[in-house]
Amino acid sequence: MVCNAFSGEAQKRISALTRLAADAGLCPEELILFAPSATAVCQLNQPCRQVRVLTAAHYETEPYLSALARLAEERDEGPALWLFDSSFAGQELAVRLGARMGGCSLCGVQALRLENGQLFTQKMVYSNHMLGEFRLERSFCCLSLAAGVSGPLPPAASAVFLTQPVCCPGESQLTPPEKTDSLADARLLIAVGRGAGSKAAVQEMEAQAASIGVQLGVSRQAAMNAWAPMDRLLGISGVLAHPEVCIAAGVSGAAAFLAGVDKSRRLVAVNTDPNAPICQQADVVVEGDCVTFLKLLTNLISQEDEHGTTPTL
Amino acid sequence: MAIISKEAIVKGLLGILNEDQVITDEQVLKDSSLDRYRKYEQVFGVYTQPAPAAVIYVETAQQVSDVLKFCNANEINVVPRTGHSAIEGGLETALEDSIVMDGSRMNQFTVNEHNMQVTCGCGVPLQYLDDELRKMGYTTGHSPQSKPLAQMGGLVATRSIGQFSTLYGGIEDMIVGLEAVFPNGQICRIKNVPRRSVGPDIRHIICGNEGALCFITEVTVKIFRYMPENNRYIGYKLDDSQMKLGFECLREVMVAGYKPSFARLYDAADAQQHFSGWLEDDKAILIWMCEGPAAITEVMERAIREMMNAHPELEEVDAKLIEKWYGGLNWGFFFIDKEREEIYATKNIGITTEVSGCWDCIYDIYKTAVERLQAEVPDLTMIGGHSSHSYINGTNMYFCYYYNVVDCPPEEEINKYHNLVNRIICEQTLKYGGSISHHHGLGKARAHYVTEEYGSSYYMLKTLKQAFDPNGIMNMGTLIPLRK
Amino acid sequence: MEILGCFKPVPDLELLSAADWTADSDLQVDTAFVRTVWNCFDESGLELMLRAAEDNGSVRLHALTVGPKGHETYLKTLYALGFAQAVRVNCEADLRFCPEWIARCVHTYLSAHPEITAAVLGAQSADGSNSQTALLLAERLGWPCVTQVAAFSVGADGTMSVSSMTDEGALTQTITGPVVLSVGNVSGAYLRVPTIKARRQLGRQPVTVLPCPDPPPEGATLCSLAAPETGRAAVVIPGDTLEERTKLFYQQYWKAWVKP
Repeated sequence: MVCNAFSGEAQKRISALTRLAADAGLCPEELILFAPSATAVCQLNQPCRQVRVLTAAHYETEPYLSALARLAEERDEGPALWLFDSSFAGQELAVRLGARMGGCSLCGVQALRLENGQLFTQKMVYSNHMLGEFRLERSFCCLSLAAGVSGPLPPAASAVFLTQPVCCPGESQLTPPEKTDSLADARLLIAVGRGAGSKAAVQEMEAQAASIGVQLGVSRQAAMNAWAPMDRLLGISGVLAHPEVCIAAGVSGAAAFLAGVDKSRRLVAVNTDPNAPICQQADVVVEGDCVTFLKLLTNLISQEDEHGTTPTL
Repeated sequence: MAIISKEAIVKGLLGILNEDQVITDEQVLKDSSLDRYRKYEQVFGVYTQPAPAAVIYVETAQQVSDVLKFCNANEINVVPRTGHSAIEGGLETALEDSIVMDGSRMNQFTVNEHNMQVTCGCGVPLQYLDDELRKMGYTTGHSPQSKPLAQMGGLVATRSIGQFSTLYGGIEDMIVGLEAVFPNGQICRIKNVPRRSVGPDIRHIICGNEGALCFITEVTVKIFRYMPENNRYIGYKLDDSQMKLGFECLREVMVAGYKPSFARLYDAADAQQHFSGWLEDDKAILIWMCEGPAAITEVMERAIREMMNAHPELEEVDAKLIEKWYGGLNWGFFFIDKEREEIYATKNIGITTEVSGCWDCIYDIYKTAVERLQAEVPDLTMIGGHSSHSYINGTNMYFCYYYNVVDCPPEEEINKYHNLVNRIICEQTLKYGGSISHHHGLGKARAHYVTEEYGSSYYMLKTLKQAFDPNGIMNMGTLIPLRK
Repeated sequence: MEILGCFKPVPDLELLSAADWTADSDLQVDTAFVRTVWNCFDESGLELMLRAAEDNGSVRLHALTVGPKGHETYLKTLYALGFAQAVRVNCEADLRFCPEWIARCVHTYLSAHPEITAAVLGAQSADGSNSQTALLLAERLGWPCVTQVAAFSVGADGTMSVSSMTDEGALTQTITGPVVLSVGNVSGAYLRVPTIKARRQLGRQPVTVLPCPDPPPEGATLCSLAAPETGRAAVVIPGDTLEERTKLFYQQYWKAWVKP
């Protein structure tokens, strides 16, 4: 298992990888982590007996790829399965390592199973409209996890830690992302689409949503209309959220978007068109204009919520 | 122009209507000053038309009457509106301190199955109406591309037409009775009868008035049995150089006595917008759909194919491709219509202008207009068109065109490009004896051609306007241009 | 500097209805009846290339697609936009899940054109959604690959400045040697539209058609394809007005789901 621990999502990623392996009846031998130091990651729960931390000031593709390739070469010949997390780093390394080692790779894997010594994986294709199952044809396999797959916290296992520095010489400018409330962690979410009608409407909806403790994300149509910044984009090419409740407001429900919200525990569709695809994918459908709906809902909540406490779950 | 101040206008409206019916929000006012004719300006957030004093949502014919009386007394320009999908500037507030009177809250309807009629408030959305009728096994038969947005009042006011008109006719064939309110407050109701001969058909003062004579409050239209299971689809491709033959094929089917609900000819450029998945880029295409009782559709399909197979220049295409394309047609419009952000980024925009003509002139109109457009319009990126409404005596021509807006601020795009294209198409149409608008309406965009379009009959239009709107308060600039 | 942009025309999947999302016994989804469009990430890549060429007159652009004759319309558009060379690798086969084959096709072309020192590809295609082609190409070439590229430009000295998204934030780096760029989400990067005149003047150049190299064995084989099960009830809230429906939703669902 390989996990990029530089950007702080490490535990979630490890949990997800562990679950993917466990569901297939596999037990990973080693966890490889990318981090500034071993101390940064020693508290993480993980199932392997050995943890190898590849340290550097920050992640850089070529040096880390070379380090992984050397590790792969040092191992015995024979079938090998490397599971990578869903970070950008994980995706690119999985493909390149697989090619470099003469093996194969797949990105965005949701599940895998072993049958008669053959490895089968499932992933979404056709922009998240169809589920495909693939048979892996080579003995050295690198798979990167689909974003949005999660797993329970693995029990803390005592492990041997090995540290190995990686030389990253690059002089490049890194601008850390603006601190936003992480949409991916939002527990209450409203996903706004074309139906909102305008940037002003979206901004108003964001303010109303905030007043009731709900975060706002947007569909690709709304983001490409610059109604909200790109980091609010939900979907396979944006944020994959798994809130408790998601209101899909004025979104038609194209699958590429749906992937961003279909892990919601409860999905509400608010749409003027009861035949919009989103309506079949929701738990509850409210027919009507989404901007008006949110205004009404906010009023109802604030009327009852006299103490002004933000609702939680 | 109003003879009282904006504040006095709003105050007067609040005296007649409830507070929630009178909107003075700045952004709403701006958006209500125009329609899709000024699409490019709107993408750039430029609003060149004067913002109205208020947008009002009327709920009864009496309210409409009271408001119109108030406006008539104070010379306040009124722009009637329902679905806000107009594309020829008909909804522009051309005068200062106009009010936009929106009927979308008058959205109730009643079906009378025995009479095969449905009576609708002006604000009934067509998509919703038709979906509900289909659940009962009926349809209005009216399917303009604006269907996802349009409402009944506007559809009658603009003499709209739908995709299946070759069978069902245009809105003018579907209307039964009407109710409209005139500038002096007079509420006029025309009763529902199948036909009568009691003088001129006064419904046609209302139908097509584009808000320049009255405000439509209620319409009754016919309904038809909905039998999609009997639909048959036919498609033939031909070289783009054979467009004249294409028109002749459309005529052949009509003259033979068949009424397919759907009859179209796309030239190659326009065809690529829809069929690029399987149609070669140098091919035009003929498409028919037969709708109705099974016995009729079966015979019609056979007959059309027999006629077309006799032309060696035509090659039949898989009907399944046509069927599937047709299934996505109305939603497809909203995907083909470019995203605002795409227009903003590429400064490339697509517009349409459509005209009509008898069989003997329609091809000349099409050919010479396309030639002139290619020669005279700068930065043109696409020009093509299709015929979509055929009659025994002629057809329409729907030009589609895209251009890059180059070295031109948003507020000047209309003059540099859009109006230039319109002028060329209208000139060619008038030259060959066609009509400059088949179904989009004159609006304000082409109102300055009204005298050429009407010729000596302009006297009749002018007299109607003077008679019904002597103080000039109904949608000024529409149908009859404003004089500076 | 010479840059190669690779792209794929794809069916406009937005035009498929829910009922169209089924696979037949050949594991194909019928998309024959919808129009084709530029794959969105590829489109951004091509527009970024045009912008780079606008800013630096010494930049020369190549375009390549692998597919049947119908794809030549797209290549002609690129000629009309000023691309110097437009290439179609002739292939009628099902290429949805063949990133290794595509990478081999592009590699073959680049090997024959050592003057090209940058290859631009979209992150993934709308149908195959493999997300592998650019990376596999980089491995074949032995070039670095920058993923999630949002912008790039070519300096007077021939180096590239590349901006991309990474897990830790937005990255800008200067690249001196050859590189593969995999283009991700770029706001506002739609391909500009050539005029009819430009199409007449430039768009009629012949497209270079090359034979397709033999397919390498792909690392993964598709065994099944189906629309995923959902499992939500889609309960429609009743009520004559939006006010009624919202109130009912609030009382029966929101309050139960979201406890203060």
